[in-house]
Amino acid sequence: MPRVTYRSFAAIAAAGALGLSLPGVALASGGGGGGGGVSAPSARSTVDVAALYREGVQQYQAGEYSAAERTMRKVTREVRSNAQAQYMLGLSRMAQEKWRPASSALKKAVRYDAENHDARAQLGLAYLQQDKADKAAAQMAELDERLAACGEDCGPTLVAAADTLRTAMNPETATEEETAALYAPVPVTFTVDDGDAAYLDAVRLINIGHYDDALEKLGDAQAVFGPHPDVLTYIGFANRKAGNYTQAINYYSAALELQPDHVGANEYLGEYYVELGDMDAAYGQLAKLENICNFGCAETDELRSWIVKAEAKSS
Amino acid sequence: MACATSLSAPPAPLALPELNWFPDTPDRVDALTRLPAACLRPAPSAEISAELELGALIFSSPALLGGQAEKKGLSCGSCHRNGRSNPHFQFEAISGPAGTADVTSGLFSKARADNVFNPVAIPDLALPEGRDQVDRTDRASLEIFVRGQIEDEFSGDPPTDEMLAPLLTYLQYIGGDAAECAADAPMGTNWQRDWDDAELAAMQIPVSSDPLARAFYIRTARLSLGQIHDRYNAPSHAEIRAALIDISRNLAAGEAWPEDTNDLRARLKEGAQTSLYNADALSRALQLLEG
Repeated sequence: MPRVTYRSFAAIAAAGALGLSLPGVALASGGGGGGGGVSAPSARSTVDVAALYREGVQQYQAGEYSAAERTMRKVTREVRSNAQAQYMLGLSRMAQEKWRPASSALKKAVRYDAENHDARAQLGLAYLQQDKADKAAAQMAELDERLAACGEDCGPTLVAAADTLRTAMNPETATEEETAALYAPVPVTFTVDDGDAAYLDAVRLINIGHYDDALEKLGDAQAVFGPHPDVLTYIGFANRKAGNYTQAINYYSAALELQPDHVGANEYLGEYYVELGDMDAAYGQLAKLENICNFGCAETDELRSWIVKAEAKSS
Repeated sequence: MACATSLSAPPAPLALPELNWFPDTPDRVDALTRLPAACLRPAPSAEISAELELGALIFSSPALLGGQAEKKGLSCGSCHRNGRSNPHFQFEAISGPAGTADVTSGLFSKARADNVFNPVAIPDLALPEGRDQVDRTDRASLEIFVRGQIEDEFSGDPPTDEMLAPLLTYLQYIGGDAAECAADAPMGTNWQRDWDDAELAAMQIPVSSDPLARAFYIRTARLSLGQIHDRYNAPSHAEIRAALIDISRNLAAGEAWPEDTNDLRARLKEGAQTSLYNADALSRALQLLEG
């Protein structure tokens, strides 16, 4: 049975060298460094969480599971509610057969992202290794519920995750090798180029209004870059445009938690306030952007334009 | 001039917008410090000459294109440097080989997005390959073409007549003497060029009768100051950066361009060798950035 990798990175074509992977260059949403006269980012802490996450992924890919676990622990201490970081922490522990701590991280991964199907399958595997068949069955039921909802249109990730857990729960249906393979370390094969390509494709999809497809790509980008403020900002934006307002505000907040001066997140949060009719809060965001952008920025102009149009409409 | 920032301040981050479209190739430093010659037909009058300067300024302002392009620092002049071509241009997901761009990419345009990756060679506007795209002697046709580029290809706001007139004149004058077209610009990129752009834009603010054009010139002046700021990123340039920020913030607050800029210009001149306008300094900075 093939091993499951969260989201299908093999299908993503490798791209060039630019993108979120190159320090000092931010490719979208105006995040990152000082390009165009934007002042330097002032992160909440001195920890570059996205860089730390990438380090952890590299350690995992090199088979250094203990080091990967330590690094991912640092990441999750900074961004506890980041599902992807919890998932990678869980995988690092699964690879060391630390079933109980693995289930603790994977539980958080599915709590913060109920659609991370492989995290759910891995959680089920971890429960089985702790002789908690009832809890594994509960995860299987969640996967089956999703399979029933999508019918013949289910994505390969969901199908593979369900197959993995079902086989583990019914070992008599598989050979010994197949059962053993279920517990082998999950291969994580993506590269930063994959992440860049996914991220840029997501921006393109957002621009043409395909928000659900964009969210899929942003999930791929997040798997590579972890809790990166540019990615979090666009996940928030795409959710807002898709009508998922609670998710939107959560992701904007997560981006601003990591980088309070992120121009994209501040602009989109301001636009969200305009949509809510909270003009005082929108003006607050505008003032913040004016303070951040020493030489002006498109984000300030766009938010100002939103405010002007909203006020003209209401008067 | 405010001189509040300590000389021991750390360098500003190296974040030139041009790094988004100049890939890591041996000739990147050249591309970032040199320009092709403008190759314009001679202006028949001082009035046209002034209009050409203004048109070139508008052509090179990211504020004209708006949207994602402006956020990335892209202007018409990014692909058509000095109104020519850009054989080094390579923007991820937009370019194939260097010097190409997908002009129907959804990354910049909703109206023209065709969901097919089909980059084309960026034409030199001074040569027949660029001149044949539209009959530039017919101003009405040229206007329709240019509006289409701004509003459809880049999702920019419609330019006002005040902004469009010098831009069209500039485009009509591109394509001159063959020998001049084959040369490099005598000065390449330098602080004086960006400073002149900032000052020229700022001078339009009080004389502009159109609020949208006025806002555009404020934004363009500030962007040009920002370009200088980004290239003076050494710790020893801290006072220069602070002074540039002061001018930018004052322009945004409705104040005029400062009357006396002699001191700042002297500092810019003095610091030019260690600024990122200098090829050696830029080369070192890029090496540091990339480890």
